[in-house]
Formats: sequence, C-alpha cells, structure tokens
Amino acid sequence: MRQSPHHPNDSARRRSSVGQNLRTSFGSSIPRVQSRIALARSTNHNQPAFDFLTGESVNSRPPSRGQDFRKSTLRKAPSTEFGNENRVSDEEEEKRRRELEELKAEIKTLKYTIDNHNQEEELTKLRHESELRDVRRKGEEDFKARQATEAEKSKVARQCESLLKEISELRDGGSNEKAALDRRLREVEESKRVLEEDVEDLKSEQQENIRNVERKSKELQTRNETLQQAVEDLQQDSDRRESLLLEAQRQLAEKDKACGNLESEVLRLKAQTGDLDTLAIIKKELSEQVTHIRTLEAKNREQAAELKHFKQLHKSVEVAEEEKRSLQRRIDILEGIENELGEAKIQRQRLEDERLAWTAYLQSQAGPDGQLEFDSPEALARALITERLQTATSLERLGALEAELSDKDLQIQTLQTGKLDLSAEIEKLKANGGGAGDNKAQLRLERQRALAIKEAEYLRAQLKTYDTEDDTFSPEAVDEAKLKRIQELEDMVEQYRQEVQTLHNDIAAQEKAVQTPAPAPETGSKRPRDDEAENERLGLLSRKNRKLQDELSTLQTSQKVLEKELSVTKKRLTAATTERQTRVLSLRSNPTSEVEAIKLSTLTTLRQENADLLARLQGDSTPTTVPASALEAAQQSIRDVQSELESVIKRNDRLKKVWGAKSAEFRQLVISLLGWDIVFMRDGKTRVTSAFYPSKDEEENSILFDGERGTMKISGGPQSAFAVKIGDQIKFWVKERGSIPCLLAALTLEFYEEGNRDGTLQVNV
Amino acid sequence: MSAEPGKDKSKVHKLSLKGSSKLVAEFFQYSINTILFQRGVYPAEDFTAVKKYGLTMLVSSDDQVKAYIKKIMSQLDKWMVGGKISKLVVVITSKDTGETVERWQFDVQIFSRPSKKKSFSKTPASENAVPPAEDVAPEKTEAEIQSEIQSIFRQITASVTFLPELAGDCTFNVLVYADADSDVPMEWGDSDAKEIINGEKVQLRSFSTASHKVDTLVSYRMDR
Repeated sequence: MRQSPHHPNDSARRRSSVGQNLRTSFGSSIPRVQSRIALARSTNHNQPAFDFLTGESVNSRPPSRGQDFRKSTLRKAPSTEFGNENRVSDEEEEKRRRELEELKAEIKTLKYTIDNHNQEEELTKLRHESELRDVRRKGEEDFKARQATEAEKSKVARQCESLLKEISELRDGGSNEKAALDRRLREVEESKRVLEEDVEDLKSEQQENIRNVERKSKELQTRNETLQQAVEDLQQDSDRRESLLLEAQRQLAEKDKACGNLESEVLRLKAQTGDLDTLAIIKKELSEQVTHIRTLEAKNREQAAELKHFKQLHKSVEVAEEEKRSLQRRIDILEGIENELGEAKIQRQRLEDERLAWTAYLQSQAGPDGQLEFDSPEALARALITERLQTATSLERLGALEAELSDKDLQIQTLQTGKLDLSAEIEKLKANGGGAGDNKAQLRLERQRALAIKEAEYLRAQLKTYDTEDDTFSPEAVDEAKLKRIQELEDMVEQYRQEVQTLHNDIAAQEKAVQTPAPAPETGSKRPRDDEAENERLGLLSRKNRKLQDELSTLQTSQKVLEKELSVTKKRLTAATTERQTRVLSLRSNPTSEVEAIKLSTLTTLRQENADLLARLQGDSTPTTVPASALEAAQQSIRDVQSELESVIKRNDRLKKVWGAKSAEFRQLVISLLGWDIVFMRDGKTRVTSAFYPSKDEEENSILFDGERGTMKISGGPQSAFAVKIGDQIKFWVKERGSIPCLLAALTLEFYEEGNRDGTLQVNV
Repeated sequence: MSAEPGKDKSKVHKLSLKGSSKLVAEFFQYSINTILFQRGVYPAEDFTAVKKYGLTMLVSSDDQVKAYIKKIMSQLDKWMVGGKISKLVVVITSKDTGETVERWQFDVQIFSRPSKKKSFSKTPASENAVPPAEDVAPEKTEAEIQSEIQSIFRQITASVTFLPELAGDCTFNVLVYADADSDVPMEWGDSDAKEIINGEKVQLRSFSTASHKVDTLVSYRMDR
C-alpha cells in the first residue's frame, strides 16, 4: 500500500521519457497521441482529490451520501444509551470515513493501472506503425535495387554480344593460322623424311666401316698369335740348346777330371814303378809325423790349460796390483805422516829437553825441605811476575821510608841542637849556681851528654849500615828488617828522650835544691810529657798506616798478577776460538791444482818411460825399439805443444780482431777527414773511392793506385763515364802538375759541389 | 750529507746487508781480475777493457778463467749474504816450484749494528744537528764508497812498482776463509792457508759500506 502513492510519479516519469522517445522517432504523428494522453491525464487529475504527498483528502467533493448514510446508520444505533451514543457514533463515523478513503484510494490505483495499460497499448501501436514504415522503406529500396540490376543485366547482355562477335573473329583467325601451320607441318615432315634417309645411309656406311675394322683386327690378332708361337718355339729351342750346352760342359769337366785322375795315376804309377823304398821311408816318416803331431797336440792341450790358469792368475795379479797401488798410495800418505811424526818427535824431544832443563832448574831452586816450589814454568813465570810486582811496590815503599828516615834525621838533629842548648843552659846555671854539688851534677850531665852524643853517632852509623844493607840485600826481606830497625830507632829515640827528660828533671831538682824552685822545672817537665803522649799516638797511627799500606800494596800486586793472567788466558782463548771457527776453503778445480795435476801426470809418465827404457837397456845389448810408455810421453808432449799452439792461435785471433777494429777505425777516420774511402788490397794496391761520389751497384767509381809500379788506374778503363768525368782534372793536376793529392782534393771539392747542386742549394763561385 | 737527509736515507736503505754483500762480491771479482792482469799471471791479450767504478778495468776473456771466477763468485755471493766470510785470498803460485810467491788478502768485517740504524731512523728531525756527534760511523753515499774502491784499485795497480817481478810462469788460486758452520758444496774443499813465511807485508787501503769493511793486504816473498 505504501508504494501505490509513488506510482503516478513513476509513471509520469516513464511517460515523459516515452513521449520524448516517440517524439524524436515519429515526428509529427506523436503529438496527437500526447494530447490524448494529456487529455486523459487532465481528466484523471480532476477525478482524484487526494493529495498524494500530504496524504490528506482534499475533500473537494462534499461528504455526500456516504456520510449521510453513515450518519443515519449511526444515529440508529446509539439511541439506546445516550451518554455513550455520541462517542460511539463518532468512532463509527471515523471508521467509515477511513474505509471510504481506502476505497477511494483503491479506485485511484485501479484507474491508474488502467491508464498504464492504455499507455502500453498505445506504445505497442506506435511500435507497429514504425515497423510498418520500416518495411515499406525496405520495399522501396528493394525495388530500386532491382531496377539497378536490370540495368546491369542489359549492359551485360550488350557486352556478351560484343564478346561473341570477338570470338567469331578469333575463330576465323585461328582457322587461318591452322591452315598455315598444316602447310608448314607438311613441309617439315617432308624434310624429316629426307633427313631420315640420309641418316640411314650414314648408318649403313658406318656399319661397313666397323666391319672393315673388325676384319683388320682379326687379321692382326691372328698374326700376333702366330708370332708369339714362333717366339715360344724359339725360346724352347734355345732352352734345349742351353741344357745341351751345360751337359756338354759337364761332360767336359768330367772328362777333364778323369784326365787329371788318369794323369795323376800315371804319375803315381810312374813313381811306384820308380822306388818302393822311398815309399817305405815316407810311410815311416809319416807315422813319425803323426806321433809328433799327437805329442804336439797333447802339449797344446797342456799349454791351453796352463794358459787358462795363467789368465786367472793374471787377473788376480791385476787385482793385487790394484791393491798394491792403493797400498802404495797409502804408504805414501803414511810416509808423509811418518815425516810429520819425525818432526813431531824432534819437536817433542826439544820440548822435553826444555822441560827437563826447567825441572832441573826448578829442583835446584827447590827449598831445603826438598819440595818443589814451582811445578811448571808457568808457575815460575807467575811467581816471577808476582815477585817483580812486589819488588816494584817495595821499592816504592823504600822511597817512602827513606823520606821518613831523612825526617827522622832532621828530628834527631833538632834534638841534638836542643840538647846543646840545654847543656849550655846547664853550664850557665852551673856558672850561676857555682859550687861542689853543682860540679858533680854537672859532671854527670856532661857524661850523660857524651853518652847521648855517642848514641846519636851510633844511630847514624846504624842508619848508614841500614842503607847499605838495603842496597845490597834482596828486597824481599827488607820490610821486616826495616820495620824492626825503624822500631829500634824509634825506641832509641824514646829512650833518648826519656833520658833527656830525666836530665831535665835532674837539672830541675838541682835547681830546686840549689835555688828557688821557680821556672826551670816547669818548662822542663811539662813539655816532654805532652811530647810523649803525642808521640805514642803518632806511632800507633803511623804503624796502622804502615800496616794498611802494606796490605794495599800486596793487594795491588795480586791484582796486577791476576790481570796479567786474565789477559794471557784471553789471548789464548781467542787464538783457540779463531782456530776452530774459520775454515780455509778453495774450489777443488782451481788453476793451481790443475797445474799441479799436469805436473804430476807428466812426472809419472816420464818416470815410467825412464824405468822402461832402463829395463830395455839393461836387458838387450842393442835396443832398437822403445817401450809404449815412451810413446805415451811423446804423445803428452805433443799434447802440450798442441795446447800451446792453441793458445798461440787464440792470441793471434785476438790480435787480428784488435787489428781489424783498429784498421776499421783508421779507415773511418780517413773517410771523415779526407772524404776518401781507402781499401788496401793485395800486391800493395790501394783502391780509393770518394765518399761524395760512391760507386753505384755495377758502376764502380774508384781509382786504383799501384804502389809498386807507381801507376794510377781508373775503374772501368779510360773510356768509362767516371774516367771521362774526371779526365779534365787528371789532365790538369796529374799530367801537367804531377800531384795526386791535389787531384784528390780537387775531386772532393767537385763531387761535394755536385752533390749539393743535386739538392736545394745552388752554389756558384 | 747534511743537505739532503731524505736522499741520504734512501741510499742507506739501498745498501742494506744484501746490497752491500753484492757490492763486496763484485769488488772481489774485479780485484781478482785486476791482480791477474797487473801481475801478469795471464797474458795481456787475454783481457778486455770494461768501465767500472769510474775506471777502466781489465777483465779476463779467457773462457777457463772466466768460468772459474764465475763459479767462485756464485758461491761467494751466497756466503757473503749469509755473512760467513772473513777473508778472501788470492794466491799466486809459481808453476815451476809450486811455491806461493804472492798472497793478496782481503779481510772482511761485517758490522752488526741494527740499533744504530734504528736510532738513526727514529730521529730524522734532529739529524742535521747529530752528524758531528755521530762522526764515528757516518753513513756513506755510494759515490763515497766508489771512490774508496777506486783508490784501492789504484793502489793495486801502483803496487806493481814495489812488488818483485814474478819469475817464470805463475798460476793462481782463490782461498776463502769461511765460518766453520757454513754450508760447503762438494766442489769446495779444505786447503791450507798458503801463508808466506817471513814474507814482506804491505797494508793497502780499505773501504767500507754500511755493513762491511774490507781491508787489503799484500804479502810477498822477498828476493834472496
């Protein structure tokens, strides 16, 4: 139901489209239909008063009988109950109205469908019409086509006629031609017949010829056969004859033999008849000979056996000789070794002698206890070195000691002067003091002083002796003695000092006793005490010092000794290592060894030759031949000479090469300097060719000078082109002025200018 | 030397141990030839002139001598590179008596101083300042080495004036003082030193490369 209201819209759209289609296709006939539809539509539009879009009834028509009807019916029903009646009637009315509207809508739809059908009908009608029109148009077109075909047909018929005409013409021409061809055919056939006849003639002729030839060949064959037969016969004949000949010859030989036999028989018979005795002798001799031969054969056999034996022996001898040679070589080597051994022995002897001397010497030098101080010269040398070093050090020390001694002397002298001073003082004091007591003391003092002086002198003497001792004695024992002496000396000095002090003390006591005990003892007693302490300390220190110095010196000597030893061992070590490290090598096949080998081989061959010759000389009284070794030696000398010759040839070749190079250089020089190529020929001839006018292939442009005869020839004779060319110059320079160098120079100039004229430059002087 | 340190260094590199060995071996070859020529061991025609070390050297063209020298040289090269050689001696022997009449000795010293080289290359910047201090072993240029070699050859040539004339035919031999541990081919054998006892000795010049020093000494028998 909902679609229905849209229908009219749809249909209207479709209509419009159809209408348009129709309008375009059908032209003027369509508007009528449209008008009709429009009319229908207008009527239709007037009929439904229902607005499709709003859904509300327009109610253009007044609610006629339906409403009234309904009203009446409705009014009848609610008469019973008045309150509800109004409501019910309203509902019913409403219902009816709705139904009515529905019905109206149905009607409208029906109408609309009817309209649609109508429209479709019209459409079909229109389609039919258009089809009809199409068919008509086709019919017209067919008609037109038919007319055209008819026209063509007539045209074709006309053409056919013309063609027929042509055909007939052609037929006429064909019949004419046929006739002509027939005629020609006939002619040709006739000629053919003639030709066939000719051919047959020819064939018959040929056959005849063939037959003739065959006959001839047969004849020849038969003749040939007969000839062959004849030849065979002849051969057989000759064979027979040959055999006969051979037989005859054989017979002849037999005859000859028989003849010989007979002759020999005749001879024998003659001999037999001559002497039968000789025959007996001959027989005897023959038997003897046979026996002899037998013995010889036996001997021969024996000798062969012996020979075999000897051969074996010879082989072994050769082996032995080979061995001998090797042994000889070994012996040579051994001899060399023996020589070396002898030398070594001698050397050893010498060394042993040396050693014995050493040991004797060492034993003589041995200490009193019998033990050897040194067991080898090496130890001795070492000891010597140490001793030397020690002496050196002791000498040094001696020098130091001497200095010290001189110091000591000085000290002593100062002490003496001091003592003198003191004695003088004592004298003074004595003089001052005066008296018996003094005298005594003085006397004592004097005595003491004399003693001291004596002692001093004694000391000096001792020193002197000490010095002399030093000089004379060996320096080894010097040190201790020296030290002792010095010690003694020092002790003495100490004693002396002490005495001096006691003297001083005495003097002081005396002075105290004699006079007031004032200043003298102070000076006398105080100082010596200080001196003593100092001296003691000093002595101690100096002793220590000396000891240390001693030690130092010993150490130094030992160090030096060690250094020396070290250097010696180093030297020895390097010598040993170098000996072991390097090898002297040389190529085995060096020139020196080759020379040695040659020398050796010549020596051996010469020796051999000499020995052989000697043997020959001793064996035979008159030697007419020389041994093979002489030949060998001679060959060797020949080889030597040959090698010398080779070297000479080599040298010659080298010289030639050098000469060739030099001469080429010389020629080149001459060419470049003078412009003439000079070739020195044999017989003192010289060919000269200008470098500016060289020979061309065949044509030779040269001048030949003969040094011996002093002639000049121009190549190609006096009439050649070259001779003519230089004829003027020759005439001018040689014949008139007699100068060949000038001629050559002039020619050089001429050729040069000519050569340049050929080029680009033109030079005219 | 101080002007172009870079160039110098390249030359030093060129004359490494191998190059130096080659140079020394070559020197030996030419010195053997020169001695053979100068001392008249072979006739003068056997020699051909060759330019070398800026001098005209004479080289033997005798096939045998050439082959012999070539053999020696091929082995010598190997030993030189291996640093096995301490001496090379050319001994001239009288053919008649077999005595050794002359002995040319070339002492070879091999420097092993890689540390020096290293220090040298480490301080190239201060090289200009260094040379006076390192004057002890200056790096030589090839030209300097060549001039040293030249002077040796001149001395060898000049030695003809004081050496006694060789009497009679002579032949020669080449001795090589090699280390005991070197490989010795079969062709080579031990020989004695062929020293000339109580002979006169003359020390000639020497030359040195970066890694070798070669001293030359000739000793000869005095005329009696």
